Amino acid sequence: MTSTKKVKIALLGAFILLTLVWAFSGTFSKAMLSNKAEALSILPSSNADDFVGSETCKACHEDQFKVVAMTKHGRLSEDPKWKDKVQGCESCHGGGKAHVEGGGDKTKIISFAGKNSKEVSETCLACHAGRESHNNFRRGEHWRNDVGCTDCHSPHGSEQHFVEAKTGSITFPGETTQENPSIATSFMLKRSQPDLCISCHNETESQFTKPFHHKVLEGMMKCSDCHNPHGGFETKQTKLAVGNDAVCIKCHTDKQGPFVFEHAPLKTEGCSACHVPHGSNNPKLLKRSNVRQLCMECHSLLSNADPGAPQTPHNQSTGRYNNCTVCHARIHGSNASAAFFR
Amino acid sequence: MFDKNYNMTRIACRILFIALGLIAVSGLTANAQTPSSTPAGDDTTFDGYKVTSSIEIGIRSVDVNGSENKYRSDLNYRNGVRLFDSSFSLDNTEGRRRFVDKLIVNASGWGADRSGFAFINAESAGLYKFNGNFRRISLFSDLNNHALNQHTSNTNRDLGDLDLTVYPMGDKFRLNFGASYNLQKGPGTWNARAYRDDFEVSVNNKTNAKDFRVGIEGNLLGFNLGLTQGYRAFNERSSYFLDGASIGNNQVDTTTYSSFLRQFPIDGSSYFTMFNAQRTFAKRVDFTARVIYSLTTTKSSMIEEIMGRDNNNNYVDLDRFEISGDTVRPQTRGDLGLTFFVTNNFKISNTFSFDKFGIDGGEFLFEQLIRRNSAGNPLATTLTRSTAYRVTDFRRYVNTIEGDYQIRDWVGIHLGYRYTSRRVELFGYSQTLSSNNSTPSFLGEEEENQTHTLIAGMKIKPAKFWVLFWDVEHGSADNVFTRTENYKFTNFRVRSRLTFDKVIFNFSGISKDNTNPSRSDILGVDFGAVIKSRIFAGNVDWNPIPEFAFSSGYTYTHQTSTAAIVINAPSQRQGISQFFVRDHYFFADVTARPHKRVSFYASYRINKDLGQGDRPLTDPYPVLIGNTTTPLLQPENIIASYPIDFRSPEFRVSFRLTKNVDWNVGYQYYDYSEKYQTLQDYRAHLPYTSLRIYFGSPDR
Repeated sequence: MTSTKKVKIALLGAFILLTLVWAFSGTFSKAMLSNKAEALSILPSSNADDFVGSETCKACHEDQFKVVAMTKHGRLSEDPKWKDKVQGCESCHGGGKAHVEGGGDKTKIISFAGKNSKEVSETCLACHAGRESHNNFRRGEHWRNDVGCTDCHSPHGSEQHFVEAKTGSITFPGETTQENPSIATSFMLKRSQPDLCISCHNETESQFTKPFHHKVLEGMMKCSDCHNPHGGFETKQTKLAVGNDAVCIKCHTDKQGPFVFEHAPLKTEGCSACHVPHGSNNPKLLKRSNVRQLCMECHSLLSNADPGAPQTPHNQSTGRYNNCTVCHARIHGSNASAAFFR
Repeated sequence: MFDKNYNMTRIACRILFIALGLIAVSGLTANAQTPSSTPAGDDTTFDGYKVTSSIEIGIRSVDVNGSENKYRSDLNYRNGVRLFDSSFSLDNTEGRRRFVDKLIVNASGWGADRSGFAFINAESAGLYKFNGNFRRISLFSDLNNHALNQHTSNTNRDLGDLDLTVYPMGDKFRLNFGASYNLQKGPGTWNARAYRDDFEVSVNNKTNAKDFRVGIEGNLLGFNLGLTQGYRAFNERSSYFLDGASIGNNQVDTTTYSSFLRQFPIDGSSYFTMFNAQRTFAKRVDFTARVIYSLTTTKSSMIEEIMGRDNNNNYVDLDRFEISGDTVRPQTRGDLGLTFFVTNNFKISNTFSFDKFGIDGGEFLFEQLIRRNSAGNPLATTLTRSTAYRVTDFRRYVNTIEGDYQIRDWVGIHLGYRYTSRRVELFGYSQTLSSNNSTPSFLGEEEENQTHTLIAGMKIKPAKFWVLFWDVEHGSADNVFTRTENYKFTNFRVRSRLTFDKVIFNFSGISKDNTNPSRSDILGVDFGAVIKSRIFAGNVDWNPIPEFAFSSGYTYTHQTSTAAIVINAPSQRQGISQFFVRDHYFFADVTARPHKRVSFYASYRINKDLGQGDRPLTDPYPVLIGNTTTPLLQPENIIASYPIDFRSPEFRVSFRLTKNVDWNVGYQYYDYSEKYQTLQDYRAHLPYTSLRIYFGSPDR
């Protein structure tokens, strides 16, 4: 048995073993917020007597109640595992008894209207932390720039959910509408992707309309296919694919390698060393319109930036040698040619 | 190069187009006689589900003047029927949990669009969640300014992701199952090279990848933990061949191919294990850790057979290559994030990342060359055996420490510092095994660097309606292999968003200054690269009344890259590589409903890159067409840009025929032109008509 196979079997075995140990240990259930008192501890008001239930809230806030009832937040009451926990409005706004007894006194209920984005987000993270995709939110770009959960998500459900479809482009799918509810209601976003993201990152729209671009405005891809808006350990909050690979490899599987002869920048620098990921006027989303120009900016006898980057021996005043990838066709890496010929 | 059966489909589309139009007009006339005033209502329920659906089926016709290949490379919208912007949803309205609480199906682009997708989301609160993404894209590439127009493709790529999360014990313990597929196949052209010449050959592209994932997430001893095991199997079964004899791109030598065949199966697999943990201690310290180990391997075995003549005019009766390769890449990545809540308003975070991988690859080559000289006399058969071995070792540490202070609810600042240490080592050897005394030739390179970056930023809410962000990064990047990315850099971003009741203004500016000092030891000179880019974007959304909306924006992208290069022309000379972008993008969209039965949308988009403007054109995209080469006035300099003008007006008028049916008529026009080469210019006319059928929508 080869060492590679041994490693694969060991990995799989360890995974199964850990899963079984975990599942049968029974300890995870102890760690859950398994009773009401514990569940209440995440809220400032932790006395069970302070809670009045969402039906009481409905009496005054009927419109909001109707919208929330259709969301996952509103449906938690139907889940038997949540029966003994705080549900509905008070799970975020805290106990409402004083607020009700005060005749709707706004100072006696948790209101998020005056709070900054980070404070609001902490409330959400009380339940939503712990998923790998959310774990870096407190260190992510959005957090750093004070963009919180409710800047993108609508915890009550999207208010635009019931807006009628507007007549729109015949090329790009429409925005958040009742008639087109899926994108909007997924993850309780305030608007659909990519419109939500572009509403701040407005410079990207021009990139996605260039002759060569990833099909984001067309709806085939979403921003979140490549980026994790909740932060991450990778540059530009990009996701990883197949464990450790760049997110591009998720679709561009033929570039995954490993190759016997690696074009070193592919794995060490990443695809964006040569390509513009959002869109470009240049063929193949390259950074330069002229392939040899892109090649020569590295393959130029530099002493401090080009290990293994030889200068071309070809006479560049001859047109035949101006198209590097005609011969070096396997420029991403080759299993059969050190010079990437085949 | 790809012949299209456009004429037939064009005629068919036009017939369908007219037919649909007539049906719609008759519907409108009939409806006008007996107007329906009954609103659709929002209480369409079946078996306790609220059903909402909107489906648009349309027919588009395409008429392209100019370069159809460039049109298809850019857009590839085709004649025919298409499903567009359609959705279907079920919402459980009963006050009890059901197996399906919510079902959403959203689809667009299937049929005559270049890309189609379908998203399916099904879930039951606290029980499971299922997400399915299905996508198809028709990739077409046939460009005369890339690789001598010899790297072309006309392939379909099908992609799918299926992910199921089940909650056997509530949200605190989850099981995740996932699978993905990725298939690509179709014809194209590629290059093969032999005897100092290169040839355009045909290729049947075929790649395939399948992924499987299984994972658990839950809470144990106060920690949120996750463990995922994944597996990908991928392969390539592309085959390369020659349709007929070819003299190759070098038309002055004697090399010819009379036949060519390459079979190059590649099989790979990737296993990965990811473990992650998170806990917030006493609401004061947030801890996150992640470790990923992956092991990716590939095996390949190539057989290539060439017949023809070599560059010495010998007859090549058979040149057969058998090359087998075997490569393995283990990679370990570890990340640790800590945030300390010093006070409610002041936080200190530290993020540490470690990444290490090695790539070990080896190949073995066997070549059998059977030749005759130009007079037809046999030459000695040549047998060549060689082997090569390559190793890449990479490790990187990155540590970022940041402070974040929320001074007031309306103002916050952050300040940080990032340190990176990276080491890359390449080594290997190549050896000819044909003779007993051959000695391997070794190669080895090693690079190590450390970089430092300062980070600062602020968010201000000067008023309730105004949010202002800015941040800056200044330091050095760790790209030791390339100069196209930044070494020393200063990046500055500012964003401003003003939100009023009926109008939103959004402005942003991004500035990137990169300098990249380098030294050529061979020429004995210092030189470098300076890259400056500026992006300014502004847009406005105005919605004064429900029946009218206007949106417009402008983005200017300015980039100048100047890099010293060494070029062989024909001796080594120092030159300059310059690249310019001066791109103006403008759009304006109007949506209006002048009558309750009529609404329209109009849009205009233009992308205009002025490129290098009036600067001398020393190197206008050198293209080899036959034996003619664009003359190079100053061969040591490459000054390039890609000035284009790409505009696309469109309109759509929607007539409400009945409470549930809209008839749409639209038209889109694309006008693409290049400054330096007009061969790829095109103008495309895309008339469109469709019926949109609503079900369960609210009052319209």
